[in-house]
Amino acid sequence: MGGVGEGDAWADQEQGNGGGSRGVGGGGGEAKRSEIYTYEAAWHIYAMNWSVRRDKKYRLAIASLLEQVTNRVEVVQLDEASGDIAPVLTFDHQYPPTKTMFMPDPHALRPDLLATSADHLRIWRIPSSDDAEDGAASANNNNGSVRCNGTQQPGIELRSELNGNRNSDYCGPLTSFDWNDADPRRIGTSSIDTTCTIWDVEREAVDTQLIAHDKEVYDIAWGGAGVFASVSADGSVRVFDLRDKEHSTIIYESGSGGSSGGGSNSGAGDGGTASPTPLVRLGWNKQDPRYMATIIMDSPKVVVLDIRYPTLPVVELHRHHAPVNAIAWAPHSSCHICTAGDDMQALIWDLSSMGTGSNGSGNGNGNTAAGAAAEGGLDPILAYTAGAEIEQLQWSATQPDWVAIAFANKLQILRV
Amino acid sequence: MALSACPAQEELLQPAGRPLRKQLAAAARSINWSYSLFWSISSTQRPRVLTWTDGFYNGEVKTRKISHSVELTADQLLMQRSEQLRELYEALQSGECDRRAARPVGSLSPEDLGDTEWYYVICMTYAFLPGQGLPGRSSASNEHVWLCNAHLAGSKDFPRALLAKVPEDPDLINRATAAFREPQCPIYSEQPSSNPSADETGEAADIAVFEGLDHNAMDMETAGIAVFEGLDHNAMDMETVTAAAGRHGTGQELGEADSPSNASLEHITKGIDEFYNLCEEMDVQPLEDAWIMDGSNFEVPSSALPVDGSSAPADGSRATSFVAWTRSSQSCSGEAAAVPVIEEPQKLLKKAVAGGGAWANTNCGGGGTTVTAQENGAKNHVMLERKRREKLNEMFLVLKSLVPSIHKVDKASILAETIAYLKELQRRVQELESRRQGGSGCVSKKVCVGSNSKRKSPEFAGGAKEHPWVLPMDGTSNVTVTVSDRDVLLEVQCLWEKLLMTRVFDAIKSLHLDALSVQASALDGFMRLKIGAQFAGSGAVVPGMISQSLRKAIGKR
Repeated sequence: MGGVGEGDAWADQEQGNGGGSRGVGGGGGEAKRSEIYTYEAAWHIYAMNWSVRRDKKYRLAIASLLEQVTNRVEVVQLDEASGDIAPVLTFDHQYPPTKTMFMPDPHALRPDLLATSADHLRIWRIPSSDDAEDGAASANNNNGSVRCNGTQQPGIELRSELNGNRNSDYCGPLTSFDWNDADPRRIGTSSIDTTCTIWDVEREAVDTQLIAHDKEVYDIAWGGAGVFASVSADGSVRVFDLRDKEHSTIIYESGSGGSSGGGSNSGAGDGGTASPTPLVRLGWNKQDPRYMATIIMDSPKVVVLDIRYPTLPVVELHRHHAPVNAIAWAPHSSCHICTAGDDMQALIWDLSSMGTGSNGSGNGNGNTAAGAAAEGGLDPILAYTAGAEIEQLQWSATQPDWVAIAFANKLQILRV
Repeated sequence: MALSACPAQEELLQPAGRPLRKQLAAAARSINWSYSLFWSISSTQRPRVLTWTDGFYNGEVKTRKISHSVELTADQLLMQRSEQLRELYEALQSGECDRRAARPVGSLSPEDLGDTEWYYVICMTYAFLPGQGLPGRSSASNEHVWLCNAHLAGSKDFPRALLAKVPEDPDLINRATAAFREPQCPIYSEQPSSNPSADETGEAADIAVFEGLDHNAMDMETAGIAVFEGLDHNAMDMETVTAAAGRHGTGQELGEADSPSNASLEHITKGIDEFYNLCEEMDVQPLEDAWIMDGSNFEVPSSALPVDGSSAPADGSRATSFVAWTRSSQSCSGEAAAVPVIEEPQKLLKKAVAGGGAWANTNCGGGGTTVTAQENGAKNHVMLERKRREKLNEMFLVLKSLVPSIHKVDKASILAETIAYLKELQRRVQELESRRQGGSGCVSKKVCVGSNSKRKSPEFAGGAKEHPWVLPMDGTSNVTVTVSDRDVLLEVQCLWEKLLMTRVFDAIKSLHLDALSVQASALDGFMRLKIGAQFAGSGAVVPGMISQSLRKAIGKR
């Protein structure tokens, strides 16, 4: 009965989303048809990411979020000539993936790998055209549900399914992961069992496992070869250094200092109301590793932090009218960030004015706070309105002019 | 255009200077060059040096001096000009300044020369060694030597470049270009040959004088630019009229002199005509400096063609999908914000951070949030319990290794034996503390008993009478009893034998004493015992009885 009810709710969403999409599509199509590409999937899209290889431009992986065991993952490719996005590869996946990511291999030196996180961390091998036959021959159907749409299509191979719990075949579900682009052999995963696990992908083994927080860890992000940060339901952002595993630095804690904490805590792990508000997403600026941004649960606010000034936000972005779902730093600029949320808007902000202030001393921070108070907050420079709540946002690292968003069952590629 | 000189031709050219000048004039005028020169090896100099032999000047004329009132053709005027320039050079060389007034009216003076004419005169001062300069190189290799872009040549290849660059002044060139005329740059070319010879000359003093005159001439030319334009135009028209006649005459004379020269010159003329036709078709001004020409093969390189250097500018970046954020869009978004109110905020995000629905699927039930929370609590509890158990197990192992009397592995036994061990340790501590206090007291008693056994020994009867309390009966047996409160210290010395220890301890047991510590040593068959005991019961035994019992035990054989 619950499933049936939820199906009805989704049907209503579908109709509403369809109408909104048609309206927006019509307007946008007339003005900027060549700058917006849309792909409609058969299910709600949640996990989505760009390909990082130089020889695979405009390729993305999208994953479904269905309330069932069997979910789908598709690798889609934008045809620049015709302007259409077509699926290249499709396979089944157990449990909805919480995050998907291609191996950060810009020069295409390593095998083409795709990682997904759900109940386990799974590494998939995408065969290239050169070893298509080898890929087909070595496809391991016993290890998982691997199915191809066409017989001619080379099959994807489940290369490894990483389980961090040695005592049993079951471990806590993974909420997110991040692939270290400085050292592609490392993947860091975050789990609801309060741990962060650092994997060695080549040895397919656990490198390090840390009890990162007191509650569920919701996201993890690498800041360097051996430094990562995580956010948790306990409302804190912590930075870890693999050279000193006994110590972690708390960069920010919601519910203290500038954070007023808003909305209900119905989603919190312990239920009821808690003083610190959970933090659900984290983005570390790759261009300027001093800055990171985090999303507060049920809050339209995005907090930008400076790791040199713990517990004091550099700036808080307030222009969303509904809770924010995703953040992405610009891969080619150190002071631009894109945010997307339930208000169906994707906003691009320029933090250069604020960043200059915080680069100075405490007086600079004071000036920044005064400036922020006087101006009533920072305004974004660009905005895009989609047809439904935007659930995922990714800024391409190889083509920094493009941003991909996912809302309802649609994937859109936008030109910045 | 270079003449292929041979010894026979050389002899012919020697006496007849005029035919050589005619050939040079025909070559210069056919391609509209400013001048043509002929160097030959001087016969008066010991080393073979190329010196000026003859030349024809076809350039601008600054001031005309007509010696006769009779009208002359353009060709004759140019010939006369060349002769006048030569005469001026010779006059300057000989330094006949004082004869200036005595010269004929038609002679030129330095003030009458333009820049190009000055250059023509100064060329007469140059002499080239074989391999030096263009004429020298041509003489050494006996081949044609071409120099393109003469205005860019260095002084190594073109020793007269510095002088020749004077007309290359940018201002002068710009002024010429503004008048839509061909630049007035002289075209530099020589007529190198192998064998003819002429007089040699050239001094630094003369060159210095010429340079000064050049400067003055330039100033004068700047003022009179318009006059030259008119003169050039008229001269060009006259030259066009007489071109056919000149060519015909030249052909005939060359035919008489040498057949190969005639053929070569005819070929050059054809090439020139073809070039001009091509230029007319393309509506392009001829550029002498840009094309290459030789006697056997005429070709126009692509560089002579007009090139459109400017390329189309690159396309700008395409428009962005985003629009500029404004307050109005904010208000519009405000209207749109009403829609998400119905939905649960951050629904998919919460679902993802809750584990991607894996928990919900595992439970196969409704109320995902509540069940997930409970399961999370249970999971945490299980994890904590597991860690606690591992910690306890580790501590039990440590405890087992620390306590020496533990032999069993189960936790209950470990704990029980540890408790017992700790109690024993506490008791020892109390005993040691009480012993230290007793040591300082005055409750110790020493009893020496040996009188009974002395009487049984007749040989020691006398000694016993004298010292009854000190000497033992047989000398090898000694018993000392020290009583301190409830603690008893026994010291026994006697000959060792089998079952002696058993008898001693049986005696202690019969006296209700608990042995606490025993120190035994057997050296040379002599045993020493030091036993620490304690009264087991409530009653205390008299030290004498203890000593007596021990004596009995030792005495039994």
